[in-house]
Amino acid sequence: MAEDTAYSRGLRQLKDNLRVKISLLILIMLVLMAIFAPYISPQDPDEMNLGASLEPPSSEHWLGTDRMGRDMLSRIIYGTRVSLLVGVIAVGISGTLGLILGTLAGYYGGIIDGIIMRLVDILLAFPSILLAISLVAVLGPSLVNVMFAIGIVNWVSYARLIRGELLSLKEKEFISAVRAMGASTPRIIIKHMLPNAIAPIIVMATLGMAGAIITESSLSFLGIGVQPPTPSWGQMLSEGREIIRQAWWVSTFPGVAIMIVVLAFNLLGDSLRDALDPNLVE
Amino acid sequence: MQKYILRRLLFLIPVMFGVSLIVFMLMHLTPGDPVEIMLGDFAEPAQIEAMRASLGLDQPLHVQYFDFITGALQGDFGRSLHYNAPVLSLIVSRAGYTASLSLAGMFVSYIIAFPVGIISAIKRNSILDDLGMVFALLGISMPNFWLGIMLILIFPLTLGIFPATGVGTIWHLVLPAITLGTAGAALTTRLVRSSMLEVINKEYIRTARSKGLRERTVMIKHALKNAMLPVLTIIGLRLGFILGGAVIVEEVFARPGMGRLMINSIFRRDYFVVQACVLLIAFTVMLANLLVDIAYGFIDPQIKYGGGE
Repeated sequence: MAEDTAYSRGLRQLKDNLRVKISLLILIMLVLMAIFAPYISPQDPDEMNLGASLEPPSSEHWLGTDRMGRDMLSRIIYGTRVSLLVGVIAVGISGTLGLILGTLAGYYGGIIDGIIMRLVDILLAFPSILLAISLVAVLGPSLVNVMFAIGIVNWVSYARLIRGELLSLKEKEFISAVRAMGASTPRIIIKHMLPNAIAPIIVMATLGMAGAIITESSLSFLGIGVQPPTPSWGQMLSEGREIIRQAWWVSTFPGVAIMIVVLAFNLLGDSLRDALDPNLVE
Repeated sequence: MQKYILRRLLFLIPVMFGVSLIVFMLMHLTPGDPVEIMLGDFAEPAQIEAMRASLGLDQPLHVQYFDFITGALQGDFGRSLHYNAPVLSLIVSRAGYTASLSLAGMFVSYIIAFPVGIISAIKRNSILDDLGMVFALLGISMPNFWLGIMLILIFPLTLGIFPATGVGTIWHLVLPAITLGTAGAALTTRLVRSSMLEVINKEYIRTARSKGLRERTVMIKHALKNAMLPVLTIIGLRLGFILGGAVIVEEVFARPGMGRLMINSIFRRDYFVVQACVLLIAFTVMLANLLVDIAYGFIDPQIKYGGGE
């Protein structure tokens, strides 16, 4: 198939791509950091020491301490867990929902398509952060609810993407051929159509991780996300904001951490897009 | 054209209906009884019941929704439980701060995006292009609330210029507008660059060049004009993005706008206020998208409306 050669060409390009290498390296390091957090952290992230409150960065506390005297570096290392988890689960939820609803709309068309696309229109009228805020307000602030809310809010773009891909694939000759050979509908969709739509979905999911992590940190910053004492970067930053005059490091470093993760996902997503799907624009 | 506008306006009705239904359901599924919260722990049950009845909260949900929607159509969004004032007047008194911040944020994002995007495209693969794209990547990856805090740390706290928080003068708007505009600037820069690149390779640009026109004339009169279209279409979409961002930026800079009102009302379970804020923001976004679609038709005569999808 023509698509296959385009993909393999794209994959070959990816292997030599410096941006892909850099972003993958950062992401692998972050994943390792999240997994081995208890072994790398210099201290227990929750261990309070009021005698060492708000100490600036030093050889003992590389990134300083917060108001409770907790080691910032250790808290940031543990915070990687929250961010990566939210990214993966939220994107998993929106991807799965989008895949199901987008496939139904694109393959069956008609009234099913009509209903799903009207729902899409309605959800698109809300700024996504606003909808996420409202959902978390309903569900109550917690890590699980934040992941769920971000996942629910973002399925729309996946559904639109998949619907569009299926609509154009439906008319292709090889699909008619497979159908004429008697393949069942689920088989046509799963074995023949979705694999052809996989490249843009991967790109969207990678960039979606970046978006989900930013949204989680925003919610936690507003106080309606992950609740203390779980170390979340957004919530650490919000604590630091109140004491920024005395201790710049408390709000500075968690923000740098957020930026590094989000940057790595964005860089990877962009490079994948360039390599796999040059036609895909914003 | 008129038929198209009319159709789009009619199309707004079911979407608006869906939006209002979602907003209403969200707020009524929220745990915690707002009346109990408002009256405090020592309220008598009879007192609570009387309050619920006076607010219409004892009615079945569909009746409450009907009241909500008929009220909203007449500009009546109910009363705030916290402020004990009409919701609409609360919003009106704050909307100006949100509107000025959003406009200033959009201004910042375009004033950065156009020059950077155009230069990146013209000097493709040069150092300038690389720098432009690094800026874009950083801008997209930076959480806006962090950027805001860093700007406060650098300007008012260290250098002693610009006010850190609050509203009042035009100077109060500078840091919030930069905070809000940066992410948008980064996204728009990429779009300007890619649509410029697409146009630059078109035949009519080569023709313009071969006529002996100066490069600057070719770029501005021929390329930029045509590269504008895709940038324009997303202005409507950007507005949603900007308004969402404004909610957070207002919190960082303690600006008493709609976003702050909304977040505080969530904590207070003042759900008539939250409901109205979300509904009005969604409505603004939809209206903006409609206007952009219509404007599109005036700018690009190739687009024909009516007939077919």
